[in-house]
Amino acid sequence: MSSLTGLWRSTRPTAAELSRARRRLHAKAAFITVIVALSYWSTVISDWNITIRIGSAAALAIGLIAVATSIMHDANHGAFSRHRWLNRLVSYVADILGTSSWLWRFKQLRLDDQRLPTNRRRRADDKARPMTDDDKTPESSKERERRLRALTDNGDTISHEEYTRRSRRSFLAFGALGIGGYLGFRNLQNRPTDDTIPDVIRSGLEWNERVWETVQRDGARSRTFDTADIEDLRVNGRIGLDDEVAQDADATWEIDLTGIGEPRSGRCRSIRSKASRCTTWCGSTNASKAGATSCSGPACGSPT
Amino acid sequence: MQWTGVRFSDVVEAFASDQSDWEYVAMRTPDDRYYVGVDRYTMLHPQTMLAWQLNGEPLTSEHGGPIRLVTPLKYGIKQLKRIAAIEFTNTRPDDYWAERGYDFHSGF
Repeated sequence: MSSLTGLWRSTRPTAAELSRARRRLHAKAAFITVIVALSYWSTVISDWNITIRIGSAAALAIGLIAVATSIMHDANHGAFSRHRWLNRLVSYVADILGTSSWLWRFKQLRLDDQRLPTNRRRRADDKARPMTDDDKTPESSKERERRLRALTDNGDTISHEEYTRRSRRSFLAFGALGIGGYLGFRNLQNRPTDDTIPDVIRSGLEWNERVWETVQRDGARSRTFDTADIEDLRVNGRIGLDDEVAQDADATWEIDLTGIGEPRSGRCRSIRSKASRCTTWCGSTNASKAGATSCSGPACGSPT
Repeated sequence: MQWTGVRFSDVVEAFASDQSDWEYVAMRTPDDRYYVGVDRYTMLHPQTMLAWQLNGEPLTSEHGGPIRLVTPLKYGIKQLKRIAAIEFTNTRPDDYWAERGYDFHSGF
């Protein structure tokens, strides 16, 4: 039996091995971080071609999975660093990814802990520390209670029955929400349409229009910006622009004016020369750019 | 962006002063493939204009040259490029995106 224990102890890592392992662990964490940062940049920010960006999106997905299964997992197990605060800090990437590091520790350490034999329990949360003789001493129930509380931020302890009840309630609520969402969506799809879209969506649009009509008033002006904040305009709609326009269209362009009553026609050229007041207006798609309210730029194009 | 052009209200004054009781303006591209309808309040707003310059340069074809509608009150889908026809009317005009289920208002 003692030879078995000796064999077991001989498999434990030495301090030097641990130190080397942690260096490799940190290199892995840095590598994953670089992959995530680069693939995010390439997917979201760069203007590389679509093939490269689809590849980047796949790399980003794999990188984020690696963050969860490596960096977060290591940190929650207390293996990322020998400093508890640093492990805790890094474990918060779980919360950034949309889950809960507290719940993860609770589930992985506290509940799993109960399945381990008493004299090996402390390893579950402290795998990176070399085994000591102390670890072989079975801990008292008081010690264990204290240790488990420390692992879960001194959270309240609940009875097994309460835990089961809460789990069941959460599961049922989640199921009810899912079913409600499905039925709501089916109902929306089967509603009578108004101008090609479901009537409730149409009435939402009409409500929106009525709200905006209430704020219409004489003298209202949209915000203007300083000419120093001028930006290029991205080309968007191209429908109706397929035909070539003559070079001198500027001078010869005609606009048909149809009124209530006599049909008439005007020329773009004469629109320019007859306009009693020429005007410039500066707008920006970037609302965060504060600017002066006046807009002074080159004078309006003179009639050609 | 900086737009240079003429206020639509001035165009009405100069070319269509006899038009008074209209509710909408309908506009079309030369090939009739794109068309919009815009309400009277928006069209007579002092910041609604027919523009022929963008940032001090003549309007390029893809930005709607030689002349286009510009207004801060509506989404870009309403700001018709390359205007070939303007009609004053009392009935809600055909509108490219409204026919496809979008909001006719499409504004702020």
